[in-house]
Formats: sequence, C-alpha cells, structure tokens
Amino acid sequence: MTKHSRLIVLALAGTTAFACSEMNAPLYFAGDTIESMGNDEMFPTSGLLLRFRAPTEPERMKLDMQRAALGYDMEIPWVSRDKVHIEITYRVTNISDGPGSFAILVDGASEYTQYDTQAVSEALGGDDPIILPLITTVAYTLEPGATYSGIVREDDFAEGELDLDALGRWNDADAASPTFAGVLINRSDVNPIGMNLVPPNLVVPAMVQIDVRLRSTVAMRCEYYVRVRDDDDRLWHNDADDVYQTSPTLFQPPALMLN
Amino acid sequence: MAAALATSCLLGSAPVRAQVTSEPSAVVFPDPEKFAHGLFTEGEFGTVRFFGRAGEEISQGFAVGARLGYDIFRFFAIQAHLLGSTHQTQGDTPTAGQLMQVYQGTVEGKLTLRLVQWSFFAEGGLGAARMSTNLLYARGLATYRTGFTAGGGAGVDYHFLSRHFSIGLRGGYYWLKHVTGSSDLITTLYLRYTF
Repeated sequence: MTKHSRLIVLALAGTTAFACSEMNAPLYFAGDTIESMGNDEMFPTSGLLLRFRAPTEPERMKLDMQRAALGYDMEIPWVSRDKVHIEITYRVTNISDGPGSFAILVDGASEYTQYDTQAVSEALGGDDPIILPLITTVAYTLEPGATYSGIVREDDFAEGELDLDALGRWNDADAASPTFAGVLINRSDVNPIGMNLVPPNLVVPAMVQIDVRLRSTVAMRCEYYVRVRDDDDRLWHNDADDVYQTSPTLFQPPALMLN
Repeated sequence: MAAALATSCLLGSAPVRAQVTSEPSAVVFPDPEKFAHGLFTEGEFGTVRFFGRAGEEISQGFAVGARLGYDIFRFFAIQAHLLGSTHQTQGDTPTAGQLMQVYQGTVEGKLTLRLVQWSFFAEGGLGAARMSTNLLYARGLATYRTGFTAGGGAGVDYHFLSRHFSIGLRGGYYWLKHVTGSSDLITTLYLRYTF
C-alpha cells in the first residue's frame, strides 16, 4: 500500500469512527401535558418512570466490589448520578385572559427514596402551606397567550438527587444541622447544612421517576420532555433484558415521623 | 586547416534532430485519457437541509463526508458514501434548541460525461440514515432512529492537470423512509483523489 493509500484509508476510517461515536447522544421522553386552573390547591402533576435494565452478574459483582472499596456500608446504586444525567425542557403557555406567574416544581424518586412535595406540605400542615420541592424554577410572569420555554438543567438535577439521597438514606435529625429541610433550602456546594452524615465519596443515585408539577396563579399549560444522557447504556430498550425493579420509600418529614 | 577539419568531423557526427516547422499552439489541451481512473476517494463538506415534517423541526446543518469508489468504465462508477451532519432543532416546541446528528450511508452508481477538464455527472443510490437521538420519535415524527433512504443527484467536477486530483460541487435529494413525509437535500464541495 502506498503512502497516499494509507493516508486516505486512515481518513476514511477516522470519518467512520467519528460518525459512529454519536458522542453520548441523549434520549428524549415526552411527558403528558399539564394544565393548571390557577392557584390550585393540589398542583396538577405529570410523571415519568424511566425504566432501566437490571445489572448483569458481572455488573452486580462490580457494584459489590465498589461498595467494599468505598468503605461506607450502604448499597451502591445501579442507576447512579455519574452515569445517568437528566434534564427537562419545558414550555409553559398562559391560556387565561389575564397575566399570571408560574413555577415548575420537580419531585421524583431514586431507587431508594421518593419525595412528594404535596405530601410533605400536607404532613407539615399549617394554614399557609409550606412548599419545599426537590427542584424548582424561578417564578416567571406571562401575559395572556404568551409562552415561555426553559430548561431544568442537569446540574439542578444533580443537586436535587443529592438532596433526595440525603433525605432518604443519610437523614440527620440534629437541630443544629437538620437534613430536612436544610438540604432543600440550600445548595449543598454553597451551604452544606444537613449533609453531615453524607459520605464525601458517596455514589449518588439518579432519579428513576420524575414528577413535574405546575404551580401557577392563572390557567396555564405546560408541555415538557425529559432528556436523559445514559453513559453506560443502562436504560432498558432490549426485550431480552430484565427491567430493573425499584421500590423507593416515600420520604416522610420528621413532624409526621414523630406522630 | 586541422581545426577546420576537426570541427567538421564533430558537427558531422551530431545526431539528426526534428525540425520545428511551425510555432506551437498557445494553449495545450489536456488529454483526459491521461487522467487517472479506477479506485478513488473523496472528502467533502457542505450542508444538509431537511424538507417536509422534519424540515419544520430541524434546522439546516453542517455536513462532513467521504466516498470510496471505483471507475468501472470512464463513464460509470460505483461508490460507497458516508456523511455525518449536525443540526439544531427549531420551532415553537419544548425541544427547540437541542443538538442532534444525522448519519447517512449509501451505495451509489454514478454516470459521468467528460468534456476535457470538466465533467458532469448524475448519481443515485440507497442505504440507511440514522439519527443520533430519538428526538424525532419523541416528537411523533419517526418510528425508528435508523431507516431506509434512497435518492440521487448531480454535480460538476473540475480536473486539475495533476493527473490525480479534481474538485467538484454536487447536490443530492434523498427520501427518508422512517421520518414521516420527510426528505433531505445534501449539497457539498468535494476534493477527489484518483489512484
């Protein structure tokens, strides 16, 4: 083979490899459209359950080895935040006759813990409901007929997933640094209140269920898509694979747990 | 006298040379027969634009591709084509602004009409197109990420006088079976090397 031929074959191989890599392309899941009436007592919601394949035997063994290596006596999640990256793209339309504001609240579940803003709010009671979602957007005002498109970013989910695991598996009732609601009010990288029991080398579980709520002052509609980057091909898409079964425990705020 | 004889002998032994009887033509036309033909490769870049339903959702994108082919005759060649393009989703939808790539691979036949350094060609083929994400599926426009594609196009090629190299411009229109009512137009500039 001449020098020219080698160069050209190399160029073709490079082009093919580049084309086939797909650069960790995300997958999209359409959520059901949510419509609010405005100032709803129960926030209209729509959820998505992401299905993952069960780990193979070698993968289970690898998780066990990782557990032994990390040194804290807790399960290593199969659906972990460093392998599964979630984002929501949404569009909200004001379908009322007057201006109003809205915010998107995101709850959900990891393979261990489920968090429900509405249930927590009811459990806390009081005349003024306390709304403490895992993730929330800033409130925006929309004129009648106007739309707003936005993103709940991967780093918002990363923070929400850490908070969810802290609440579920590393809950610290210490009044000086309570996990609830300290982690929900603060960004853990700015103020790690409530994170005392969380190991620094924690493998954080990613969400397997995403619940989107629309909180608005007038009637609005929210369309959204969940975007998932799946580094290790763990999403279930092959009939031959078993679906990974999860049974997360619903988080109960301390007030309710004391009852 | 001796010097004159020696000079006469030397001149007499010189080889006979052709005589120039007219001035050479100012323009030397290249002979296409001397152009290399047979195995060839092409590298290309350009744009891919979608039409139909996909055209409403996906913007025009930048494309890079390559071809490997063989001239069976001077006027007919077969070739394999790979092309990757990157796009941004558009429109008034929640998924607007997302990036996606499209990969197309086809096997093609090519007919060429050569006029000295210029040639004009028509080509057509079939193969597969793959989307990097399931975005069109999520939007209800596609059943699968990979599907059948077929189409054809035409172009013009200019041959350098270096025997192996030529450049050209081509356009091709391809039907995308797995994307509802959609097709794409590929327009590229290419550099060809014939071995």
